[in-house]
Amino acid sequence: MRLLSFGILVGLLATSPALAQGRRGGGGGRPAVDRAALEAAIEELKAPDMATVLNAITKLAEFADPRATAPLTRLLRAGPPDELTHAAIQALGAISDPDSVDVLIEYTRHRRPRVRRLAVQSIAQIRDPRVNDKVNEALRNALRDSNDRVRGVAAIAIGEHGDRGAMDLLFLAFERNVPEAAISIGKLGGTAEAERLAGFLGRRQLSEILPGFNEFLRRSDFPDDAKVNIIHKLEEIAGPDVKRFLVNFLASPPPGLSQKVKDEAQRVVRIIPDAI
Amino acid sequence: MARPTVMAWRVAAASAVLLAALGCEELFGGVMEPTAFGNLFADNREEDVAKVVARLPAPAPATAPANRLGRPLVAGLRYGTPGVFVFDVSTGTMLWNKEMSVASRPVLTDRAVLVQSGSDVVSLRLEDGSEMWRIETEGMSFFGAAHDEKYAYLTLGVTVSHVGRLIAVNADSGWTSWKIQTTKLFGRPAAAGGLVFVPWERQDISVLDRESQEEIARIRSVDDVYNFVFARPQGVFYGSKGLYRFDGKSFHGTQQDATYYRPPMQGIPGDPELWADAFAEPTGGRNAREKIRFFVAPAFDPAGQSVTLEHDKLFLLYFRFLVAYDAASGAIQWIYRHPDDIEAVSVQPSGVFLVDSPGNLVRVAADTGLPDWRLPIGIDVAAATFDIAGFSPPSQPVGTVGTMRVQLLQVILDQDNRLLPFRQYLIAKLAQLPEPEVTRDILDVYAQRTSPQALKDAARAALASRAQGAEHLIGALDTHTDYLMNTQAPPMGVVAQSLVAMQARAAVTGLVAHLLDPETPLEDLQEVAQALVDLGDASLISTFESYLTLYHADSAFSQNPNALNVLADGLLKYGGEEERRFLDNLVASTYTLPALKAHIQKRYDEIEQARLAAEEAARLAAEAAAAGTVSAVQEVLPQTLSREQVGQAMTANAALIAPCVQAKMQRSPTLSQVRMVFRLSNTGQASDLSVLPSDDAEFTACLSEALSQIQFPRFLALSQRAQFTIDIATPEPPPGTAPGTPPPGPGTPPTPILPGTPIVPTGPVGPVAPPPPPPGVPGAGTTSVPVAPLPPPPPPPGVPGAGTVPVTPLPPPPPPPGVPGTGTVPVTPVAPPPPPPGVPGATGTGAATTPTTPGAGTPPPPVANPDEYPDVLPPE
Repeated sequence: MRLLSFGILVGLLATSPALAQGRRGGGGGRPAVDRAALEAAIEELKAPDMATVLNAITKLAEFADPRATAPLTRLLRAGPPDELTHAAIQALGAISDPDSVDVLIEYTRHRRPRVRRLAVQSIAQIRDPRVNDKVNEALRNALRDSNDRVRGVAAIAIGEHGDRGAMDLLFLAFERNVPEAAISIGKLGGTAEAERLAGFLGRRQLSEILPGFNEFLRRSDFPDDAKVNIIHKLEEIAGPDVKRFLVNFLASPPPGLSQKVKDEAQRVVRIIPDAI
Repeated sequence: MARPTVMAWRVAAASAVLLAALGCEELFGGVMEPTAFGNLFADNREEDVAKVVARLPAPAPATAPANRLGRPLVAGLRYGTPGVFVFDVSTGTMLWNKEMSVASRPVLTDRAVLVQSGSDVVSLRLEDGSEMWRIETEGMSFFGAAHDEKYAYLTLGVTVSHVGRLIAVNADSGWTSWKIQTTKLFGRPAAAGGLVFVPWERQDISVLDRESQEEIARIRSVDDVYNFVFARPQGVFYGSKGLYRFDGKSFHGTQQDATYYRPPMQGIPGDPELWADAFAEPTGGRNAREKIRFFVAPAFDPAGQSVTLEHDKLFLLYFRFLVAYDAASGAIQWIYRHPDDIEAVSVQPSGVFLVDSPGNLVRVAADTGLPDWRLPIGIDVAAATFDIAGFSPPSQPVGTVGTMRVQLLQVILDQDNRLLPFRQYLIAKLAQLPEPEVTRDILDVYAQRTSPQALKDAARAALASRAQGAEHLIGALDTHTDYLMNTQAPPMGVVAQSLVAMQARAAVTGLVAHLLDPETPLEDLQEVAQALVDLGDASLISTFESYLTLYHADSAFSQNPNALNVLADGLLKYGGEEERRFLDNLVASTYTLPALKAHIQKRYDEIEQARLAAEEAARLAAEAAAAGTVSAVQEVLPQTLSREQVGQAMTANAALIAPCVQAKMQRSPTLSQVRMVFRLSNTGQASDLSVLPSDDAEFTACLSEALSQIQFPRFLALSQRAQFTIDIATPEPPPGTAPGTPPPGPGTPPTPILPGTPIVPTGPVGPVAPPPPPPGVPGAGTTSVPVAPLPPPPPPPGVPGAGTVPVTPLPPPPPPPGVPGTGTVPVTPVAPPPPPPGVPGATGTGAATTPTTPGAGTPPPPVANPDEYPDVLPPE
């Protein structure tokens, strides 16, 4: 790596091959980006003042055009000041170009937790089968982070990214006080995982488990019997929190919720007194 | 007032006759003019002491119990329901067990057990516990008693008002024969040969004739305190931290001239007493003070001219642990871990007997530390005292003897939090063992989640002192902090330092991984970076550049840019023009952290100075060559400073450093070692100090300030790293070391360097210096260097002082005998020695990178050895 001082490197940005070739401009079903505006924003990345550069990054994030990936990647690899780092990472997340995965993964190992958290969030937005393995591994590694916010973001991101292979790791994280893991368990798990999560009832705060159940109950691909089973598990520990949870669930039911599940939830709501 | 009747007069007259017949001293007892303990009595008179010695019985071995029953007995206090008991050890039967309130530990005499009960000292008959007599303490504290065949001698007193009372009581009748009361505080007395030995005010011991009650001799310490005196068949002994034999030399009043033994161990937590303090008021319950102390027994010396210990060992009780120390070397011989608290210990020729809280009598073999005999007393015990001389039950050892490493580890890993200071102390002992696995053990102690922080700190310090086991450190680098797996990286700061000291170049890959690991604490990152610079090579250039690129403008390093600075140094060390341009760009960048910019710029300035110096040296060399002489500069200035030269400079300025260390020791009494790593410029200025322990900013600042005032000798290279270790836990040898065996490792036997100052420069090893050769090998970097008194001595001949560069050839400095390039500076004590309690002695050695001073006539160019840290950039 050579001459990566930020002030010097921005001069190289104008020669971005991606921009020059315009290889992905306006693609991917996104609204077409004005080429001139895009070029101007990339040009502004060379500005000597940070405010202008920051503004340019913001524009590029709004454009969400993959042609900005390479200039932003080079910007990040030049080691910019904090604000620009944060903005550039978020911009890459907005663009969601698989080509940015490598640099974002590098930033999941940054010394500042905030940077790691932003990198994890941005990586999670990239949905491309070509980089799925890389993304999944990065998100799983982020679950091991010593910073609880990074872990929390990673746990949720795994669910959003649909990494069903991470189920054991999510349960381990949940056991190790990463409550956000319950959400992903609820998003990705099957009936066995729902049972396993229910096993934490009485051992962990109900407020940490309910988000997981909420995900299970709102899924259309989750069997009704398993949903009813969850409701029965909640009935066993009937209390105001359970009642509030089920009332809210019934107040905004997911599309296609079966009558069977709805009836069972209503029954449990009825038998739980308002105050215990 | 009523007039006495005739009958009364008759009774009085008859009584007077009777008194005369009985011996009036016992009935009138008590009213004496205190001629003893007077201020005018001359102390330390040789003829007085000789009279006492002449009256003492000849030394004899203790072969049988001293009590009249002739049976081995243990007298003790019950725990729970208060009471006193006497247990016959030979039969395993309780002689008696009496419920009563007790306010003192029991004193076992030849015919009774003496205890304080309420406001009385009560004598309980040995056979059945019946009360023989009682003496009113009149509100005073009971300090203890001694006895002979005629009297029991009791000392009472009031500590606050310094009132002391000595009472001689007929041992059978309890009648007070005489008593003396003064304004001096008396300690527990001793009796032998018709004499009473009374310690007072912790400085004097008066010897009284029991019949005349007159003081016939007095010894007074002029360089010690006297905390106890006791009499045994082997002789009369006294002392405080050490043990004196009362003999014809006692009149000197000094340690050196008396027959004296002082245990060599230092730094034991809790400052354990060698013998029970005679001035401490005995308590009637379990007492932490009694659970941290030594137990010893004087060995029989027919000539009575020495102080030797039974088994040649001291036995330290630390709650549940019994530690045997070699009396000569102070090395730990074994550690016995008992399941319960130990309430009393007695050292006998057949072994070490103890009584534990649940009431078990156990004997531990003195040579192995294995329990080999056990007898239950049957009641919970609060305190006990032994009279079991000659008792030797058959030995039935239980268990096997573990290695010293295993024994130490068992204690270190013990979860009893009362033992934490002792566990810290033992970690330092463990670190002195030569087995490579010890390095792994210490890392494991550090990594244990249950280890208290204080223990982790001790482990860090211990690790820093290791010279063996690099492979275990390298293996430990595979462990990273992982929240999910609940793993913790090793203490990378100290691991990195140790790897450098061990020259473990195989560690580079693992170190890179920890450099890039965001979990590596910032304070450790500098050491990791430094280790990479020290152990790595040019293949690391891209790693250094990537890291500098990523973080040169990042706030992650805004508070502490040291790691980045070190990596920039690494680029200068291994890189060329391309890397120089890379650094130029960093300096030019608007966003680069100011401290990093300043550091790079500073290095540039140093490089320029070195270039100029090299040019000057070359010019002088050319002139000398032209004139047919040897370059003055080449002959005088070394390429870098040797470890000895660094050590000399440090020890010569010990007075600057001592206050910092002493202040730190007050804040951290268990401090065992201080490690300083710093950069030396070729003008002799130190900078960039890092200190272990690193958790005390005040300490670091103090040392930095002190270091900045030290003028080191100049040298030719641009700069060099130097390391200096202050070992506070010495001079105690490592555990298991046989008497007379030199300690392993690079250190030579420590020597005090500054009276009262526990500073020990030990074997610093420059980061790129090879492991020091064994002691005695010329050039070894570990040599005792006594610290010179204030003011510091001038630079040695031939070594240029600050700012002075001779221009005429000078002969090289004459090396002192034995070690080239090092020497021992004669020391004149600048302060009286007595270290504070628990403050160990001070010794050490100093070192730096191996000197590369060219020989006479060697062509000059001061080009750095590329394998060494002191580095000069290639010419641009």
